[in-house]
Amino acid sequence: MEIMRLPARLESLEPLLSFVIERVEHLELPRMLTFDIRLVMEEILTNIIHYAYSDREGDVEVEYKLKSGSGLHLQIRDWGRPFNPLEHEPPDLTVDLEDREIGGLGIYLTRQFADDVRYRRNGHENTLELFFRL
Amino acid sequence: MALTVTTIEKQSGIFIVSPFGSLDSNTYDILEDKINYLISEGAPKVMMLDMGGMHYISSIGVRVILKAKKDLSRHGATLVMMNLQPQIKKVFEIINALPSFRIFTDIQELDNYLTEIQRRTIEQEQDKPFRS
Repeated sequence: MEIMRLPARLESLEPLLSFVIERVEHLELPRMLTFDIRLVMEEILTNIIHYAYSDREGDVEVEYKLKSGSGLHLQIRDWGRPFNPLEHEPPDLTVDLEDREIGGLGIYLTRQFADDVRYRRNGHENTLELFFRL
Repeated sequence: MALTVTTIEKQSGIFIVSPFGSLDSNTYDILEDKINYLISEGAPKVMMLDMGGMHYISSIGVRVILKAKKDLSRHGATLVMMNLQPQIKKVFEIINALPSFRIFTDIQELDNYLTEIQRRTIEQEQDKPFRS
């Protein structure tokens, strides 16, 4: 099990994605699956980067756990406002309807590409759990 | 991951735009800027996105392409795509965006399409009442 924690800023996106993808690439998975994992990670991380903390600074954490015989477990944690991406679209009321629909695309793609997605809130912590069958 | 974009004006107003690499949160503006530039300066009639060199797209990349389609259509132009890699095609399919796009298999199909457009334009011109 490995963890990487960085400030929830756009510059952290690539390092956090690389953290996961470099490990996934060692597993020599079919190319589609590596793509799916990267896509889901990017959607969730950009959501957190844009919406979790509003005016203040905060971190985002990625936990990588490979369970042999089971699959890949990824947990993404932040300590921002309560936000269950499975239930809501990002609350941006300034964009028109078509753009808002596109904004919800990322969440929709996450649910389609990951084998299981769960959310829980503990105290001040949001945790999104992703599972990919390997 | 990086993105480079090459553009060829195949005929007047017919552009082939070829993005190479990854269209994601860090690179989407490169394609967006290029397309906006072509729309404002290039008088496009048809913009063909040759997606053969694109190996990754996230939802922000899809948004750029859908927005480009909308902007072009407001200028009376069309956006078409070709050579989508399977994982890219899958993303468009999952969000059910494929039906709104004309997808070509290859350049020959695009040439046939352009010939057809020109033929129809000529026919429309011929049908117009003669002005003296």
